[in-house]
Amino acid sequence: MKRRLFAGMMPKVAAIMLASAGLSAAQARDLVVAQGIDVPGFDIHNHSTTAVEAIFVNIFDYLVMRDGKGDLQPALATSWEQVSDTAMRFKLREGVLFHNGKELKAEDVKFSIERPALDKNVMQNSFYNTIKEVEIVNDREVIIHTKGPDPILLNRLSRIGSGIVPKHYVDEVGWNGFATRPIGSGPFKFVEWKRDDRVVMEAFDKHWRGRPVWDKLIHRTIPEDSTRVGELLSGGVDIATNIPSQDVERVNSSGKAVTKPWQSFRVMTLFANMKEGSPLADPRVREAVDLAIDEKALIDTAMSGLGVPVRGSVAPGLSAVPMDLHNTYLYDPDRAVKLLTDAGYGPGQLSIKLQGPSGRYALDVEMMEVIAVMLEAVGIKVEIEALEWSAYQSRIWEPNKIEGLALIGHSNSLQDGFHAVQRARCGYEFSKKTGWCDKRFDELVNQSAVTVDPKKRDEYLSEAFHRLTDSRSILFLFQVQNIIGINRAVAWDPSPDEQLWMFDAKPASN
Amino acid sequence: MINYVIWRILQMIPILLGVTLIVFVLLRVSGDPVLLMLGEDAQPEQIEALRLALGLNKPLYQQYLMYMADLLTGDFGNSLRYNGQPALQVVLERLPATASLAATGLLFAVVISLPAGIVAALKQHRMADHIASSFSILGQAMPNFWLGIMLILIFAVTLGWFPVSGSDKPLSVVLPGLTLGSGLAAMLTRMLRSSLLEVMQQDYIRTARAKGLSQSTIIVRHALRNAALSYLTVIGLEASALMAGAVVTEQVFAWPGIGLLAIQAINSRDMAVVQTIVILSSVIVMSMNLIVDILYSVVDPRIQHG
Amino acid sequence: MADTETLPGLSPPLVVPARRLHLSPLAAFGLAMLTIFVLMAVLAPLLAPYDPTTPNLRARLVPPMWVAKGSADHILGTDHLGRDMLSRLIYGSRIALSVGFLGVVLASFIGVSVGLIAGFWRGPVDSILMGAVNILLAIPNTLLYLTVLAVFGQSLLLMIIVIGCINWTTFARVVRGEVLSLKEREFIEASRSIGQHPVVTLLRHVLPNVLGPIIVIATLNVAALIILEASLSFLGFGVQPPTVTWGRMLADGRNYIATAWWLAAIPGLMITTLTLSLIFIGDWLRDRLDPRNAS
Repeated sequence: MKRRLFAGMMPKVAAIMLASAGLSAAQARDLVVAQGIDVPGFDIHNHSTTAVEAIFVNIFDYLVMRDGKGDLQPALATSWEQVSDTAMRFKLREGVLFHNGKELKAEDVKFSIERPALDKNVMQNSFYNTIKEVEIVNDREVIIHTKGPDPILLNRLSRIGSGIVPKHYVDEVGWNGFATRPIGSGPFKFVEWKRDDRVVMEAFDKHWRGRPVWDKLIHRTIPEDSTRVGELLSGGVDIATNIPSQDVERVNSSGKAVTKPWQSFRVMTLFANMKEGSPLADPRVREAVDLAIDEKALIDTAMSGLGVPVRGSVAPGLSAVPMDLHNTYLYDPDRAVKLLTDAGYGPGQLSIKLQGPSGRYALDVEMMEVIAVMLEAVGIKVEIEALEWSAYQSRIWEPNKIEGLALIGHSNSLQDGFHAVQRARCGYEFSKKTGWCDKRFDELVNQSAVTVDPKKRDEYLSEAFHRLTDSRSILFLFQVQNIIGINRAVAWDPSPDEQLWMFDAKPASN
Repeated sequence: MINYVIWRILQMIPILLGVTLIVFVLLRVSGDPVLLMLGEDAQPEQIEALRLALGLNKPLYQQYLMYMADLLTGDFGNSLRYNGQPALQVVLERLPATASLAATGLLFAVVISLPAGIVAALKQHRMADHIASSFSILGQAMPNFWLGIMLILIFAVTLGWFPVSGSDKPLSVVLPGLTLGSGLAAMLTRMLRSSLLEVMQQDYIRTARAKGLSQSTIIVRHALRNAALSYLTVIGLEASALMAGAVVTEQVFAWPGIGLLAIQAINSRDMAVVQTIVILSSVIVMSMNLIVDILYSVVDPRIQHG
Repeated sequence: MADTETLPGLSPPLVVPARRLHLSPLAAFGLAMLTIFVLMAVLAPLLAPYDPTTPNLRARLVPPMWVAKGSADHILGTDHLGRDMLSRLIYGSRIALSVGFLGVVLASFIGVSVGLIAGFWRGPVDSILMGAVNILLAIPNTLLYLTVLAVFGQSLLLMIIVIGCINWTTFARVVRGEVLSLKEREFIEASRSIGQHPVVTLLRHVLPNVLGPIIVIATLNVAALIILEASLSFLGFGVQPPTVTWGRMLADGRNYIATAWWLAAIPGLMITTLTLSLIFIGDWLRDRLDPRNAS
């Protein structure tokens, strides 16, 4: 209505603007995707951000890739088989070309996988260092040797940093050169990168899956949420990630775009300081905190209903996680009060500091404020300390720095249960923060790391998960659910692994 | 004149040294950039290795000396956030974007304030004056980001006249330019109005008026020329505020300039980039001031630099 | 815009009142509003109907009373966590005023001291102090604020200290200029000849002379700082929750502009009203106190 009114008032301007908008959508077939972050460059082994890999998947190919359901599917590797406890053979697809026209061969696979596996200075090393060597059998076949049995080798090969790059090209330009002018074999080839602005990619005609329907794929960096939503509503971008929950209705009723839930493997938790002298060293106090928090209400109020309550770092799509911890929570304020009384704290006698970041996770401060109200309802005084992300991180990263409870969200880029619990082993990062050590737990996790039999592995990990949950050194709150906004002219279903795989996006049929 | 310019340029050196020292100390006593680079999934051995590789284990003064030595050879360090790209290059490639934004902001400020200030002075205490003055004062009383968001909502999302964000379309610069220039426009309008009023009280204007010259002729021929000096002064002084305002504006409009880079760099403790930005922007600010000083003597030959 | 670099002494008054001793209508408005805000800040616990930080999960996003679906329980509505907007505004005035006033008090203290010392002793002391002034003037202040707050964290106290330590240059320059011109005058010589210590002379004669400009600069500076606080909040470097600040309310409310306008509109209106009041008062003070305007 408004638009029509102004079109009447300013016929020329409006006509020109509308015409040009129509043109770019109908003829050029560009697809514009917007996120809040920029890529750090295309040195694919030197970043650790899922949202960055979400762009890379369009440029690079992987040996195996997850499909829309999260299951592993053949990609560059057409088949694979376990040849021994520590070796796996991969047959490579024929006729795969890099963007510069050269053929992708076994030596490229060896080169690409061995770098993160063997070079301790690249960021992704710790996720690949179970790999000992990539043996070239012939141009179309490799055998990956691991140091010990590695039940999650395929998980490693389908995630951040497992794209295959052309060896000859990296040899020629070096990783620094590659970081600004990458070449892969994915459906889109790199054209241009303007920092903090855009990555421009164009369709690769000779991609083995076929040519994508889009001529250009443009990834834009728009840090400000309201601006990103504005671009989605004005048609400036076709797909926008992390739509604030309060804008869902506005987007859906705009007629221009729709929102879809976008599952994340991130689980929000509270780390408890269990060290001597902390009131949270008393298991009754930790249980009281656990029982005092109504996760369902937390999700409904602070998160506008987006999220699933959990009692462990579990989510659909992760392998080897006990799903009985998913979609469940404990809430019993009366028992919480009793536990506190038993522990010697009357109403208002216990005060706990709740620390967290401000602006790192969606609505993080709001979460803390709601949790504080819930804890205060059972008689625990709460002091909130919210910090800008980098300050918070340096504050809680050092061992023993958490004062009471700390709000932390962890994702799971390996998409496997082992990664969710391994950092809680004694001496590892989580345990350093909370002070929790459990021999049996460590044994279980270490066992699972070298057990190939999936059933046994599940058992080990399931017990480990439950021991961690019962320890209440980490209180699990909920699995995060993001929202993605998609222009109605584009048909695309987000996959559960947080990747922006745009080969599957198609113009919507009207 | 040339001596004066050389002298002024030499004066920049100690100031620049002070600038580098301040920022270096601030950033090095801050948190650990390695942790920020690696993210939540980092392993302790990764952290140690990267720290060593970046020379972050050396004493502070050594790190500073190393840094200064590098600066003198044109090496401003490498960006942590951008995986070791040269910081100077990362910053310099943003300069055109910020320059065009600032120029547009300045242009808007001048284009708005000249007529608004003149009209307000001519129609003192009348409706036009009140309207111009109210807008100019509101421009100073409203946070920049707020104005930017409102402009997007009205002119980009609802009316669709301009792009919401980015810098790739011809009309992209309009809304961010307006946002950035609003404060300066407000200040210049107020300044112009009152200095015109002041000039018009003076004898030679009264004489001109007595000679029967029209009000507008007087303003254009005499009063404006005399008000130009203080007009220029304000622009020179506001150069630094324009740079500062770009930080907020660029964040709102996803404008890929130095301001957006600065925020991202500070957030990720990308020390080399932050230092380069601060050094570069202080050079720009000092140069702008110098240019304004030189313009002074062009506008008003009575001012001489000895 | 957040004009932290503004040299208010140079931007002349909006309204030149006919009789300078009288309160202009705008100045009267400014003073009245400022009084109300100060009273609000002082009496916050008595005035606020609710606790400003306690969420009420059953009354989220209630619009202001006069809007459809509004409720008399919450005159100005509630935010996304069901906190009473009126109470938050009342408590928020404390932060706005303390950031503004304490920041300027600290800045003017540092600035006046530096100006006095530099102007009086000249020589190397002067060079070093004015060097520091020039360094601070060369760096765009927002960058400096952000860096310092990023490094040291974001408490209210710290923000005030940082503002004081960065924002003093205008004061120093004005005072130094005044000292230099006064030193040439006879009465300084005279007081020296009767054995009065020069510092005593300075304080006795210089301070009264610079008080006018300082008060004017300070008033307008408070306005700029209130805007600055909002801008820092927007960039994620403001005073952190649970402290309630107008700037933070406005910054948080920006994501609700299209869905719950009052979250941003009301704090925005407060900030604008307060800064406007201060600008009016500052203009009026300049007319009254600035000797250059005495014609």
